[in-house]
Amino acid sequence: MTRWLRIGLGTIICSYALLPLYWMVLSAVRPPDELSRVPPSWLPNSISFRNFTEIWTALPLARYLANSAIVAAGTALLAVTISALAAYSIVRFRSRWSGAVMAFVLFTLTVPTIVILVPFYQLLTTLGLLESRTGLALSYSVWAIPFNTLLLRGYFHSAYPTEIEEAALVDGCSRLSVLWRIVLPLSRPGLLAAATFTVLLAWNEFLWASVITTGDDVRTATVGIQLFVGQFGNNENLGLWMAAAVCLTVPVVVGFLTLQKHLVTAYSGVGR
Amino acid sequence: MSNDTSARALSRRAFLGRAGRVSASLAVAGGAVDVLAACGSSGSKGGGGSSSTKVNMWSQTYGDPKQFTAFVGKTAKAWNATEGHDLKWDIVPWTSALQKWQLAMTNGSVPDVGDMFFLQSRIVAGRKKWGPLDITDEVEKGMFGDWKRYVPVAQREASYKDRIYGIPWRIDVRGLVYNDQLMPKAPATLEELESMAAEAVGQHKLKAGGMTMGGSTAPYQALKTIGAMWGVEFLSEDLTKSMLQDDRWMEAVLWAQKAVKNKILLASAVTSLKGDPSEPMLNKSVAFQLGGNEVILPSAQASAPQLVDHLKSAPTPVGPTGKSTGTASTAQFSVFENSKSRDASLEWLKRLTDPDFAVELAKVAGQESADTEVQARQMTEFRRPFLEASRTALGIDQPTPAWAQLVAAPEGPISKLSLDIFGLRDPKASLKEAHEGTQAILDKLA
Amino acid sequence: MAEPSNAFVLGLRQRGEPTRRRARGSSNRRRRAFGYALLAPMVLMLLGFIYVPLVDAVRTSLTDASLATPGSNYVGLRQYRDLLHDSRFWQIFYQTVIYTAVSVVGSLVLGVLAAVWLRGATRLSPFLRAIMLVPWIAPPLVAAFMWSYLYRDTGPLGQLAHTLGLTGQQPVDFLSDRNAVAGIAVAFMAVIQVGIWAGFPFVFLFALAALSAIPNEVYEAARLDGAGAFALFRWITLPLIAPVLETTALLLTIIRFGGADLPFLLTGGGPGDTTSVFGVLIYNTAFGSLDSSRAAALGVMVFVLTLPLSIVYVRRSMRQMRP
Repeated sequence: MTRWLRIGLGTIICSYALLPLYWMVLSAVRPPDELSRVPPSWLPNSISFRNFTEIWTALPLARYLANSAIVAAGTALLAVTISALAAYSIVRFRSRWSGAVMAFVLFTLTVPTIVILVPFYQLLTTLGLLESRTGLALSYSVWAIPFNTLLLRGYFHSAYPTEIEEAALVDGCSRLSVLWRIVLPLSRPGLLAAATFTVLLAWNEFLWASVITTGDDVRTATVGIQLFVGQFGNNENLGLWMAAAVCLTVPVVVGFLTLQKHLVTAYSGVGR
Repeated sequence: MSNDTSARALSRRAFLGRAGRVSASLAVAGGAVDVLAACGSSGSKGGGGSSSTKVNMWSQTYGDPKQFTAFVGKTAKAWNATEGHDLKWDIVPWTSALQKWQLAMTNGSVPDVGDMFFLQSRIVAGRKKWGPLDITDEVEKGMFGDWKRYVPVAQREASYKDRIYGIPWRIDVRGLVYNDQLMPKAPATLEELESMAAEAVGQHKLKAGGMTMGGSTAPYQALKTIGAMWGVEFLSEDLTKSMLQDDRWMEAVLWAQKAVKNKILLASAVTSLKGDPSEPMLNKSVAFQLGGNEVILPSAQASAPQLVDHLKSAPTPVGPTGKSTGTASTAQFSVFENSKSRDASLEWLKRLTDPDFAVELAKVAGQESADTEVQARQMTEFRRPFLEASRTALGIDQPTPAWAQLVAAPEGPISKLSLDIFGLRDPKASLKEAHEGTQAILDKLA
Repeated sequence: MAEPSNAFVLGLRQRGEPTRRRARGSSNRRRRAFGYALLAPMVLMLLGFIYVPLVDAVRTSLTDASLATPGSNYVGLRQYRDLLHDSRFWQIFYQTVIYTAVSVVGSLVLGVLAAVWLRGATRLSPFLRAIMLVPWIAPPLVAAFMWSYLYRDTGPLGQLAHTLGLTGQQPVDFLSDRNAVAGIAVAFMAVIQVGIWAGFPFVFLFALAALSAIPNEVYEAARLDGAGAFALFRWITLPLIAPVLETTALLLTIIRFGGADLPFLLTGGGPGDTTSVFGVLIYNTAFGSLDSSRAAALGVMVFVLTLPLSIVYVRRSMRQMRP
């Protein structure tokens, strides 16, 4: 591709991808009167970081972000472990049930979450997991497991030669230690990819978090920023909300920036 | 071969060791779940009690979150400083409040005290096991002061079948809000409204003369405001019949459509369910808000401060009824049936609704009060027409358990009617369809 | 750590494919038991948390249950019959299909374009890749709010469109514009656009992975033969990444069809029903009309409608897994 075409195309695609978030950052650093100006200017006329300093006292945002992180980490741990074990089993221990299991997993992806919302809620109540981050992590794990299993199945299918495992077994390793000492280190990209997907799901989710947790001590960040939205859908302080939204989005973007190399590697497996 | 056996033995031991560790951690996890289950199940099953003093309250968020959370924290702390008080006041965001309450009502995962809306729906959904508590006796004994000091619409909305289930606290009164830069004075009658709207549009190149209040609950509220000018409500007084085939509704919706066509009212304020409810006012695309309320003031403060001094309020223009009729909606604080700390909850409820506290709460929340005693203490020039109208206002929400379904947007028949009317569909057919749908839901719930 | 080999992409049987034969004996039984043990937690969790509620939902769909009142009666297939006779159901079915089809195709095109563009590794690559992923990473809540903000008549896009003369006398709020073309409102087109925006990183990631496995020699050989850029793409790139794209498209379709968070967050289905899709309808039916049985029936129908796609996906995966 000619160089100018490349640059032009790239600029267009990148701008398109970033447009709403650029506007979010722009709004967060704008002084309040500029925020409501019509027509709005595409470039900032003046920059003020006041929203970013105020937001930490306007809401206990630090605590909310920490809660989001805790839930996300817990979800990743649970979901990735369970999916990885299952995916490994499907690929290495194939039986006549493998197809059925795959179908079983895939069908759960096609169930719209809203349909099972009410019975799921009853289930969580019975288990006493309302109002807890554990309940939230468990719920998110349930939703993350199907996709993770598919992803990891594709990954294990082609990640590394099985001779390594077979050799270890012949040498007297137990199957469990093969898992722990060989599979785990070798499949780090895949596990990382599954973990990032899971963390993303847990971090970004709003409705379920707001429904099953109420207390301020376990509130996650996505629910927290919605405290700015009033009864009639009006935003009490748009600038602060924008700043909070930036604080909410930046960690995951940074996380992806650091980990995206592994993602590309791992995703090559799912196509098979 | 011996290698093989010893290898197998080795692996078995390793496996057992590993399995042992796995099952140990599972046991710990299981134990943790049990502990959580014990904590979680308090108060979720049916059957109340008064032994505990732990009171958990859910209220939605109002006004500036920072100020409101600070107030909530301070109040709880002050209350808990007294021996025997144990209050936990949680705040719920509005965006998911409806779903949260509805899910909670499916199995009684409700707190001890709640900030209620659609009260009658909750009473029925709670099936007397975990719904709002009947406090008629306590009210009659005077525990909450003089019941009559609450405006009539508030009294009605807190009751169901002549029993009282909550104490009113805030009232959202709708009247006329206008921008005196675009419209020199308040129109007193509907005819004046029409002519002043036309003038304003011509003079200032507005999108339309005015708007009804927007937002996610706009459709039915817009229609209610207009219907009130014709003196007609959606349901009959006994709440069993739809009034939509009443001639006055036909006149009202015809006027609404005329208003849209003649640029008196902005249709998009009704039909787009998202967005700021006062935006066209705030960026001066319209001159007035028919059925507006004081929530425009903090919005203006935040995004268009220069506008604040020009926003004025007035009673709803007089329509064919010959008098100005405002509309209002109220919310209540209720104790729940299955609360394990009924006495403590009632005590807290008493404090919540005590005028001395209520006036502070209303101030922080930026809400008008349904309590006339508190109203006297929160009077401002802007609020005056609203507070006065509250004495005679019609309820925006009619106190039937079917209400949530009737007005859900865009599903419910009443909201759908409004969307159809403001979308300029055939009024006769729309009214008929809405009437049948409404009656069907009412009959089902009868 | 093994990188995916080229043989893998070109569809050849790769080394390391398990070649186990079915054998008897206690060691094999133990092997299988271990395999099942690994599988068990996932199966149990999905069974307990998704399938059991799903069965409950099916059961509810056969009643007249409502979130408003206690008690329910068995009514057989009445909910389904009512749905199939409801013109609103069909209207929203049509809209869901359009939303899914257009947003998936759009995401495919854009995703592949982005992947092809980024293919050459440069120092900026990690940074650029992260930028491409942003629409997918951003919380839907934030993304939806920002798009609705951009689309407002007072927002930048609304004002831009007005300046360009696209909107007549007054600037228009795209998300509340009911003007329709072929039964699709402008507002809906705006919603679909957001769907494309949010979905293309998903395709981008898979496409990039598949592209990175194509060896450069193949391209060089073709270039020596005189192939231009477009020919390279059409005859080499496209066929080689087609399997991955098919799978991605299948997955994305399955997710989009039943999912509703974007339309819901953007417009709530409004104005009227013009931007509603199945997920939104189910949500409004359950929490608005409080008609939980009808909502359950809707959900089951969505599940049933995506079943053929799921079966196709499973079949393909099974075929690829066979030695």
